[in-house]
Amino acid sequence: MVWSNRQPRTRRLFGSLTLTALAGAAASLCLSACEGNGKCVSNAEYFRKEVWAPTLSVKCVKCHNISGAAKDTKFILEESSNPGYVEANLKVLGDLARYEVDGKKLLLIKPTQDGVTHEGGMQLDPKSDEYEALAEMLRRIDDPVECDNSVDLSEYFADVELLDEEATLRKASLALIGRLPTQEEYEQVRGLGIDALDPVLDQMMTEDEFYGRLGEIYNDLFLTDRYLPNTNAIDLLYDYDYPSRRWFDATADEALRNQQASRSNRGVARAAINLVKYVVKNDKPFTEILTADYMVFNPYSAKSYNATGVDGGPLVFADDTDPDELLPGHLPPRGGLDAFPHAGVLSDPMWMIRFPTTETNRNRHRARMVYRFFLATDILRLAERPIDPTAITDFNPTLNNENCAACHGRIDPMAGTLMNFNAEGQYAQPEDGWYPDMRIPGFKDETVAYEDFPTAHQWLAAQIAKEDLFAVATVQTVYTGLTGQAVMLEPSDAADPEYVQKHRAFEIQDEVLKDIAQIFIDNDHDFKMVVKEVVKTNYFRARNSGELPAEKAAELSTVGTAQFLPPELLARKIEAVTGYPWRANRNDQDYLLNMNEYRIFYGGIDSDSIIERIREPNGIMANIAARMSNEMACWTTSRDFTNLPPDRLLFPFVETNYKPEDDNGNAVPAVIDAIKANIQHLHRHVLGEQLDLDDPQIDRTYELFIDIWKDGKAGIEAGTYDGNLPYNCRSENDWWTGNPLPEERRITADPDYTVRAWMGVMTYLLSDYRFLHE
Amino acid sequence: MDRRNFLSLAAFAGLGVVSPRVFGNSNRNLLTGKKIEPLFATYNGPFHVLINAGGGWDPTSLCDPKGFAFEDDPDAVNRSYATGDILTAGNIRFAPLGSMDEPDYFKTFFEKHYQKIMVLNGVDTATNGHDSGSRHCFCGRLAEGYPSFGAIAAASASRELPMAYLSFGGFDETQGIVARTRSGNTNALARIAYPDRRDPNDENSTFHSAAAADAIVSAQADRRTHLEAIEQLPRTRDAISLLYAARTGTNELKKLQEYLPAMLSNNGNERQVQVAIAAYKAGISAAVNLNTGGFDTHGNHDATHIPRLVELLKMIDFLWQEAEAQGVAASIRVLVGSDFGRTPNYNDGNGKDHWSITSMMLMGAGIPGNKVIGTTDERHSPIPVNVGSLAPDPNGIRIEPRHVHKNLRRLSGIDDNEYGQQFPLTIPAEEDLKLF
Repeated sequence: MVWSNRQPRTRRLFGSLTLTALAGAAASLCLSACEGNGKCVSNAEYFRKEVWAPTLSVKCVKCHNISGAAKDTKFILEESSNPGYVEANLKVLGDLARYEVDGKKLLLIKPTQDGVTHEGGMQLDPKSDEYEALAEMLRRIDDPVECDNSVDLSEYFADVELLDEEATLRKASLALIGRLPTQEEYEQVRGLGIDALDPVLDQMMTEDEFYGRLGEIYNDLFLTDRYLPNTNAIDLLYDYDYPSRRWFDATADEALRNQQASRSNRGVARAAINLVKYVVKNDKPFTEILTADYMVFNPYSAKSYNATGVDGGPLVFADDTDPDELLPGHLPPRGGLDAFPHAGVLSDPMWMIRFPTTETNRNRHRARMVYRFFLATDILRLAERPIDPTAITDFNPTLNNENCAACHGRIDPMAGTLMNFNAEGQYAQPEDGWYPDMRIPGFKDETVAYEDFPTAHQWLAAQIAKEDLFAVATVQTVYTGLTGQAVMLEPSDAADPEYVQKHRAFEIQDEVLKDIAQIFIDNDHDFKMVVKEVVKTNYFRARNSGELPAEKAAELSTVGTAQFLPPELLARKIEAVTGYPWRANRNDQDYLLNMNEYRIFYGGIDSDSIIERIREPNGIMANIAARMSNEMACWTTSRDFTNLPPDRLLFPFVETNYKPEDDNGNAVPAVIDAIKANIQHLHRHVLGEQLDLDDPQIDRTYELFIDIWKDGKAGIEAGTYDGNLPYNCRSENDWWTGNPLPEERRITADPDYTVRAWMGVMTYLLSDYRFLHE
Repeated sequence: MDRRNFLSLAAFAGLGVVSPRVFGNSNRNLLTGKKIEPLFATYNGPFHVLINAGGGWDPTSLCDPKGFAFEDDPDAVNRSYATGDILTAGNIRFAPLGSMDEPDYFKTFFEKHYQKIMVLNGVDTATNGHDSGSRHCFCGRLAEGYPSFGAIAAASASRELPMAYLSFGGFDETQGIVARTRSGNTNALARIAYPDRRDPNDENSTFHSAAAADAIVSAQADRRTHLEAIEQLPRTRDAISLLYAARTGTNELKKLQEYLPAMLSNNGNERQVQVAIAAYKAGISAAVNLNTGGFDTHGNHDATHIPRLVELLKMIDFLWQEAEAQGVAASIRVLVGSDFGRTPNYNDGNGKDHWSITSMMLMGAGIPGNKVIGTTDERHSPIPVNVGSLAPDPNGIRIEPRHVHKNLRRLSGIDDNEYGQQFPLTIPAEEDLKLF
């Protein structure tokens, strides 16, 4: 396993493809153009830098937006807070570029008031650079010139060293399924190029652990694990709607009743998460998380909901007692409809309850979340431009005032499509219809037909599924889940001294992620494809670089494998590497997963009041990591030695009586070689480092071993150190079963001080930067 | 001197100094075996307390009071009290409100604390968005990309303090200049505070001998040098720096145990205060975000919002009680704020929606109390102030969060230090309000 300098493969550009798709009838819309210095400048890049930044964003979009003073014109622009704004605005320019008056482009004569009136007055000087840039943009649209790769990824990443196939596989395996790859898996990729990972990752994505991780990633969005404790989810359902919600109360045996309650509650609370898992596991188009005409139940939640199968018959589980078995089914019909109008997570009661509404909020909060999760749009960022409340004197300002309409123009129609879900998250058509003082339910330019109001959320789901932004949102979710980084937002502060570099970084990342989104779309929304593509990006694989000048360093500020592992991932890595979980007793929960232990302290979330992860270590987190390294070294060193060498994870090349010096103080070369070989193994196994035996890092770790061993040996001889291990660090029973080990395998004494020297080495490695980060 | 610089210089000078703090009981000189004292003093500068009223509070129900003119007044800004019943404490006007149990609680609070309080009314947040409003209020800039005031204050004090910036919520963005600490179950703190002990209550139950612990620390220091030499990607270098900075000083966590009450309060707000004051008293924290929510009352405003204001004021009162009890009241500096204000009218659900004009309150060390700056008209629109006199002036300017933060930064001596310059608040001289 070595670091490689492999160049990224050439990628198609989502933006260009989108343009092709969007332009449609506007076939004259060009894709990109090349100009001076041999550098290819795409239309998107030209638009962003030369047209949008100096002109449209400053002078035009204030009125020319869906709710602005010019909202009734054809020239409607998207704000830059919308991830698809470049493509959308280029389409608008492409459509309007055809309009001419006396042979002059309307888009040029309007803002200059050249023979036509412009209600916004004179906005551009025909002699200005801004005017010329707009004219050039229109020429580019009229006269397409293509270049193969408008964003030069290879140049951008030229200084970056990448993880090779094996190292990438190790990182991906830990990130996706929480274990190290097997030797067979390593051999499937070794030296075969990064695409060789695909079949191995495909196989890994059949393992249950992957679906556990997938659930965590989506719970970071949905936060429905808030309702996992006790019967908190079931308690939010009403008897009137679900009379059998507490079916388990009839169970006489208390222990069984509690188990049934817990499993029912889990199925109810996690229905939306389980739908995501079900869709991915069954290789269905990922759009089904919104469009599914079913809900997913486990055997227990099916009883609480009195659910039926998709064919109308009873739900038949293979194992009625397996809380992890998931089947699609239907809720009982509601509202006079023949069947419950399912629309994936958009009709899940718990998802609706998690994002509540009120009589005055009118589903706007829910709509905001739909935008955020499924359309990659933070609607509130639209409100970040300064507004002046004293200018708001309108009746019903959310409908009529442009300050308010920036958000409400988008959010209110969508809120209307969710009209059939009440404050309790239940399907209940509004008795008096939807609010007449709000916008008509719909999405973008389309509205829901009145007769379709009872299933308006299904209509919305179908609309979103067609959106490119749904693909972008999915890619962004996977990217954040695998790298621990939020995607970059387009920098808006041109006064920032690093604005140019940050913008370049944004552009590149935007292109890379949109490229993956396009692959996702082209593959029928295959979620696993997104996972594989993100793993293969330079963002996931970037390992190191040469020395970087300041400007390049600013450009590469988000690149690198430096994720401080969140508690869930670190917990799994600990077990994967040492063979044992970090928990006091085998029936306990891991320290890092237990809310009452270290989960919150270590930056985790409770999905309730703490919903944002801490991704940088603080003093408390550093101490927790220190305690882990001490405690796991103490517990697992002797445990590993109780196994036969072939079964050991940590110490396959040494024994507890391997001393580097004999009783006369003479070096024992064979033992020293074995110790160094084991240290080499530990660096690879624990830290993922492939080092030669004469590497200074091997020597440094060996020096640590020797220092501790010599001090210990002297201490035992002097009687100042105990010849036995501390009680907690002994190994007398099989940890997994609790059964006593055979006498000859037990380790309680450490007369040669070798176990404690290895404990020191393990503490050193488990506390290392490269163990705590991926 | 920056601790990392000290260690680098010490190593350069051949002193062989190693961190005494990484693994608890390892603070011994490698050669003599004697315990060595911490290499830097714990923090005892001003403690910056940022109190977030999450969701958008209603200043017209608090310190910029506006009631109803008569019963059933259709234009009532507040239906819960009459304009004629507005109370004063010193120069501060406030709403005559309270809870069911303590109907005069606002009066109790302001009469007790008015001499410490500076009220800023008519503050224009220029937004109706929760995230952007909270950000604007607690960092002084509407756009993204700046850390909170607490983060800058904490980083300036010492980014290596183990709980330099303690946050219970609200806008606590750090932009990577300091690590936040989030409080969890404080009962686990004993084990966290003593990571070197198998039993945190037994100082002799260490995992490693003192010599082994020192050897590990020495190896870790070499490892850091190695990593810093080979890793070049900025993100990786930052991560390494943050990890080692977080480790430095972690032994001081033990002191937190000394100052935490034996029994923490059952009241969540009071618990936040207890942990924060104990962390400051221990010298391991320089700034804290205290957080209390429930102010986003789009429905049934009076019944739900006013009790939240009572809880907020009680939290502030408890903060000062606890600070007095721990003998640190003279060092506390407080900023109370919220996302924005609420509309000067009720909606159909008897709620109030978002309104970008708000108020802020400052208290404590260096803040002149019994003072109100800024005002609003009868519909809660801001009246500009004269830049020189701070009096209402139609030709003046609106007070914005950046003005408040500029003054706070100057007061705390962080406006033009490394972090202040990295995230500058640039205000032209003709708009630079001198609040104190």
